[in-house]
Amino acid sequence: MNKRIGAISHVTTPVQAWLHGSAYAVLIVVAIALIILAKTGNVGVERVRTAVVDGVSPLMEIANRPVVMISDTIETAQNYVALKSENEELRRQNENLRRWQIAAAKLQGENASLRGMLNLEPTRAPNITTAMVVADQGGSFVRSVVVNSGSLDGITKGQAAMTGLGLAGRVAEVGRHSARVILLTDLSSRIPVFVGSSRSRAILAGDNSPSPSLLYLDEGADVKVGDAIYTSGQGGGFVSGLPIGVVHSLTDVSIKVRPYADWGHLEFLRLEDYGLKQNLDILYSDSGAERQK
Amino acid sequence: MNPTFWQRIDGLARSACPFTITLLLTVLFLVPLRIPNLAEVVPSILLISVFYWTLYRPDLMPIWAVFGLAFIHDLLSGILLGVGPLILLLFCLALNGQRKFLVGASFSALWINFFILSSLAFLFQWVLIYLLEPGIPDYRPVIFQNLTTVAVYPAFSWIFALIQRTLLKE
Repeated sequence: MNKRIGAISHVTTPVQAWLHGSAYAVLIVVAIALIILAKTGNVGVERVRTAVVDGVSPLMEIANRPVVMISDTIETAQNYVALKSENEELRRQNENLRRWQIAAAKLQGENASLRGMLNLEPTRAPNITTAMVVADQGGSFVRSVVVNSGSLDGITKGQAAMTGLGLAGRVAEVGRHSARVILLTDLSSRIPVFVGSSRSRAILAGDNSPSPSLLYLDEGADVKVGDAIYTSGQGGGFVSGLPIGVVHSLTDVSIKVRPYADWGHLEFLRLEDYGLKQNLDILYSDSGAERQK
Repeated sequence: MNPTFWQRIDGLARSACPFTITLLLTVLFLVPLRIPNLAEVVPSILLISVFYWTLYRPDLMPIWAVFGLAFIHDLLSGILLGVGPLILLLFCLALNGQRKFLVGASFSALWINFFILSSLAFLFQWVLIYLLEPGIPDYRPVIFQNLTTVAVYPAFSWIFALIQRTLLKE
């Protein structure tokens, strides 16, 4: 009897070991296949991704509530402590801003009359949706967030995601009630921009660090630290003139930009729809360009 | 009604424990905590959990479960799909290779081993992202994330041990 059991276990153990080993091999091959599918922009991968994020985002919203409550309480307490000094600071800033307001009003009028003379199409006001960030960047390899608005709220791929201060990123995937925003600091983010008042063209490229860099700058462009960076609208991904940030450091090898968006406090994002979806459809699909016409 | 039926459900729920807890923690670790710059260096709970359960209860953390967890994490975090599963499978392979040495090892030996394996996992992931995406990914958050992961390892391995003692008694 004993011998028999021994014989069976002797047979099954290598078989089990083989099964175990081959399961590793199969799963590793599946993982590599997934990478290839994702890298080639497979539609199925995107569908699965949006479906899973859609399913989990209500759970995240619930988990978010105590965090919001605690951080709001802390913030309120901090505000009370700093009330007096902040008041003085704000008064000073207010004065400064009033001066800018007068300047802006004057420029706005001038701009409108010049546009009128040139018969330029008036700029369209965007449709704006404000969405809460419900999922953060999951680690050190990717810079994207999930917001709690989706196609049911009128969100479409390619919309600009703004913070109160400037551009934060672009909507990359849209589910029914959630959407993923790729931040402009992400490794895969490339945005055509204008640099400074000379409007030199460049590409703003993310590298997962908080300050993206400028690539392919116009030859002979004069760039200084403090020059403003804003979207050029070339390629049709964004409208022209969305504020991004300022040039923050200049070296021989790279020009770093500090975005206006505060990466530490991304709580809400304003998703702006300028009706550019058609342009993006053409960009996204190679053959689609013909069909659109 | 039938006690054996409920016992079976109970047993099933208990044995699904490592997977469910890891899944829940993975989702919770993605919740924005509104602490500046934390999200980039938030510890990788997947590495800790897979390390612990693969070592102590491999029957409750089979490799398809490891694959599934990494797959879901990839979908939620927005990283290139497939990178996480590949790294985690290789992590498990390396871990299983040292199983004999690690099962009887002291806590500090385990911790050092975890440090080495997680560093390798992060390094390999960086190389993979470098090869697959345009540009050179910033390496500093990767180093910091590795350090935070190693730093919280004792706390989470203590929690997992507690779960193992209370819920998964044999």
